[in-house]
Amino acid sequence: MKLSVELVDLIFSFLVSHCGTLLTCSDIPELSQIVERHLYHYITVHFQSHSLCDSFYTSESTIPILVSLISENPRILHHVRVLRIRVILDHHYDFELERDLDVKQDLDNFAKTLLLFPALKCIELETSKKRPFSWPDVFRAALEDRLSLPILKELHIVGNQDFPCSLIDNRENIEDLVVSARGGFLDAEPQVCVSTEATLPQLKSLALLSLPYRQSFLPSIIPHAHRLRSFKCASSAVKLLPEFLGICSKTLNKLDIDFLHSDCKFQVSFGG
Amino acid sequence: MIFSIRIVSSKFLLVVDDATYPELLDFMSPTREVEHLPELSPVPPNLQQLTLRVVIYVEGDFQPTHYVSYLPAAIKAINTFASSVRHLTIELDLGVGCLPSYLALVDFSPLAALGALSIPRIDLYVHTDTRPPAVTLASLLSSLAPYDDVMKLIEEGKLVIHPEETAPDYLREEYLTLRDLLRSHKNVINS
Repeated sequence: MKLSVELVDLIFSFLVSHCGTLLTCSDIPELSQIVERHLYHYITVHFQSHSLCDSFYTSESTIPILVSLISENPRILHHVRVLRIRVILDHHYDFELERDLDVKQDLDNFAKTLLLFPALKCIELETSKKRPFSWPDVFRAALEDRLSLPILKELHIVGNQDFPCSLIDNRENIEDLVVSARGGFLDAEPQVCVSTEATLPQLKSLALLSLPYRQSFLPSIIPHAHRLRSFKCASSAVKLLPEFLGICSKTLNKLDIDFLHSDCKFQVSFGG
Repeated sequence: MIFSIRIVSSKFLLVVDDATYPELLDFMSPTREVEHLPELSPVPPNLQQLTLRVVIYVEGDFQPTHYVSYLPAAIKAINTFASSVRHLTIELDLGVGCLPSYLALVDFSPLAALGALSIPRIDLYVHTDTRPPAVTLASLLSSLAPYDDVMKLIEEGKLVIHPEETAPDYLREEYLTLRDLLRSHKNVINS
């Protein structure tokens, strides 16, 4: 019995996180085209300090691989739905002026490639937790362009990074936001954050997995969260729960609380 | 000298010397207040799904020295939000180091509060950090056996226990890396 293409496609859609299975199935000529769609559903691109290139992290950049894959098979670009951009910094590099210049140059060079992805539904920005990082200008411009794609609904911000308010301001398409960041929205642009014209209550789901250090975080995010349906808070962000209940309790229908490392623990010391 | 004997599993018994660990009796008390839990108001009137992830751990290399539980805080949150919830998920992450015997010290008594709720579906996920996994359905049922209302929920199929499983999470856990693709790519070229 031969299954329909639609049914096979649906079956493989459940396997997007099982890359080993997909890679194996992609070797079968009858399945390769269907599998390809799901194989490239979620890709991670690494950027790292050049001083780390010989370390245990990685020994080669993934950018040439991506460029090579795209040049040989441009269809890949249309299959990528989730793009994870991961920055790994050298924590031992202390020269302030030259700090992260190599990584930022690589990111700026990647900007042209980033603009080629037409069907992204989610972008994940992940940086190191130990060191603050700011996105370079050329890359940031390309990123903001992709964040305006109507089909892009989800943005993840992870690590110790500063992210400009403009990433979510005025973007009606971004409905799901995950923040696990120590940096937070840039203080440098408070006028954008508080402007009612620039902010939309567009977020349907918000996950705060840690509490950003910056004081401007809460006033920056709250204008976007008045119609939240789903809210997840974890760790130190649990203390923000009352703030969000105050603004979105009427629309909220899903709540997820992770008490790990929150202050709400119950502790007993044994004697002896 | 008073001893408490708690059955952890059919093969394992732990005897706790209450004279040595008098505080054990304190944390068994469900009336003990939880500190630092923020005020949970206003209550969302349309809340349908509530998920609570809770860590409980017992510390101590050779004998238990600290017991930390977020379960009382979670139960307080459940009681606050329960009126409209249709599906409650509780995940208990039990940290007992490499000593499964510490499992006997975990206080499940706050879960007795579930018996008074009228939530149509409750999923309870319980897992440990031990290898091999130490939590079994039998051991959990044994811990919950004293609470008739909770056992009734289990019998009615309203409370489902998932031993050694984690609750579904919001975030993806597995990533496809370009290095995997390169490996495949080279294989194709070589063939």
